[in-house]
Amino acid sequence: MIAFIVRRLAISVPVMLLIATTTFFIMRLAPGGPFMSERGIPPEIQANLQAKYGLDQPLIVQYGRYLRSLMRFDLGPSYKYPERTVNQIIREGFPVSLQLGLAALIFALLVGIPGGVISAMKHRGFVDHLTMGVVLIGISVPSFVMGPLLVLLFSLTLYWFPPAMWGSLRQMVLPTVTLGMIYAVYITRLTRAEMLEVLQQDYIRTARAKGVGEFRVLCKHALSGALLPVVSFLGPAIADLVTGSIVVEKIFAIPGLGRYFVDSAFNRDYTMVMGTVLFYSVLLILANLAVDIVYKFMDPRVEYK
Amino acid sequence: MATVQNLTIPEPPSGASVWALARRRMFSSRMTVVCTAILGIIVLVCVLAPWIAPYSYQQIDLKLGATPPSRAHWMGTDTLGRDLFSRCLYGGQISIAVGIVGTLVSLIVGVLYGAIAGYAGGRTDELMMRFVDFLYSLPFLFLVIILLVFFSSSILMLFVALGLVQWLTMARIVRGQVLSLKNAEFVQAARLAGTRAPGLFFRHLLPNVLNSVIVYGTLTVPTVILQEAFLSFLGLGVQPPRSSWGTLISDGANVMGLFPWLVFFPSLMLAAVLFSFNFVGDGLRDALDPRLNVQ
Repeated sequence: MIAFIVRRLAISVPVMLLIATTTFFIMRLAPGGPFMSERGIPPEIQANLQAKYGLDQPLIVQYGRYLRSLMRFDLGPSYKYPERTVNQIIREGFPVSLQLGLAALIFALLVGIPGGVISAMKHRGFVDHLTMGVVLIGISVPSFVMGPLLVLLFSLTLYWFPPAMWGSLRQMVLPTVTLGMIYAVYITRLTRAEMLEVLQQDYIRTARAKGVGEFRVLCKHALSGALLPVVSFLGPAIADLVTGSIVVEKIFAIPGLGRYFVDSAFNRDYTMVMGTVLFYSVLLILANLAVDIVYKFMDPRVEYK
Repeated sequence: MATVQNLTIPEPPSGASVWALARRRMFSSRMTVVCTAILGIIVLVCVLAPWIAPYSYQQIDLKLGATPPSRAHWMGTDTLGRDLFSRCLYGGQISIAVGIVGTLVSLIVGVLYGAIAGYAGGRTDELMMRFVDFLYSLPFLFLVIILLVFFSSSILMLFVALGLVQWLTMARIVRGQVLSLKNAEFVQAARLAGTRAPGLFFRHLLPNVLNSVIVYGTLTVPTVILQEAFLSFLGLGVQPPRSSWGTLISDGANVMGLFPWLVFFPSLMLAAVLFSFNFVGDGLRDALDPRLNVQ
């Protein structure tokens, strides 16, 4: 197990290097620089600014210096907010994004798993058809449509929840539902399909024949088998969650890292863009590793070499 | 050899062809028929927009301003007095075009990549699929955003960027199929007859993976449309005065409190198309191969 974790982490080092290199060169090869946008800066000042951040030096020297500071986990100063470093901005923005992402994930699991189980129990019944109808609609309504519609209904018409910002519990409701809905819907569908299959298995019949209560059959015997695909769905879902949170942060004016990323891309804030991409890549690699480990605990058949 | 020539080949039992069967199976579900019809109508109306749309998509009428739906403007007008129905039709043209071209890009790249990996097998296959795994774990849309911001967000760039995100799953599917087919007897026979790799692939392997390619392609179109709308929503997709459903929704969402119809109608069109595409794709999958399990 430990060997597996160590090996996976070792593989991710060249991956990170590759990502760092790709983003670095994409940005340096693109036309325009971080100080081009402001008109009316005299060329001398521009040259000074370039020199201050080392942008006047040969590309390879800049690249070397960038890698060296990465070794110390230093992502450098932000070009757009000169008084702050990228590390600081991530430290401020990320907790908000993390809260949003976790809240959405928990919402999705809390809605999706029971939804799928109930739907499978009442297979072809009214509840099942209703659930699958909601699932089909949920899949075709993207978050940037869902968000405005929820705001329209619950904030501007019914005045139940505030339309923007983040912090209090009431403010968290709409963004969480907006971001989590699509995953809730997928998890419902996945859980339902797996439950239907698992309930056909011999070991379920054995459990029932032994006189195990129906609730216990569903929750202990069937669900633990049915949840495996849900766990493996979570890996890619976390990557989507990160991207999805960009839009949700924009709709609800939430000061998370996703907003910073888009702004910094528009502003050509090189260090900030590279820093965010690297940070999220590390996060995703760790998240995928965590998912694999959870999978291992849930399915004793899986072995790691 | 002579005996072979003298053999009489029995007539195949007359009956429905594979495609007729598939068609019957597909249209046996009422929902699939309805969705195919909805999809057909929306696509047709959007393609014929220059002849159907009552106004131009950029005809501004500032005196009119934003008005709710009326007889003259079925979906109302936006803040600049432009007819929303016409803008939805022209926007649909772009959204659908992006969806189809993006899917084609992803199909070409994915099929070639998957086929090469599956056909080569061994270490090459291992290496190529590890690379796909690696790309899967990236926040890929971030790289698309970087590409679009740093190299002008032209429609061409959008096509390429979106296609490049989508080919991974296609490559996996095709690779799996090629891997299992390449040792089939008819492929060995063709190889013995001296067919070289490209011919072997295009004439013998490709037709057999076509089913899954078609099915997965149908399911990719709505995904690409969705991602274009996502990027447009962030201001990175289609640029004004051109519009897509994504930009219309984004514009509408900004003034939603005052003019709710501006976000409602484009959202409705987008959701209808996504819904229908998903349904038609599922129907196709069940019709073409009931055992196939594409994720």
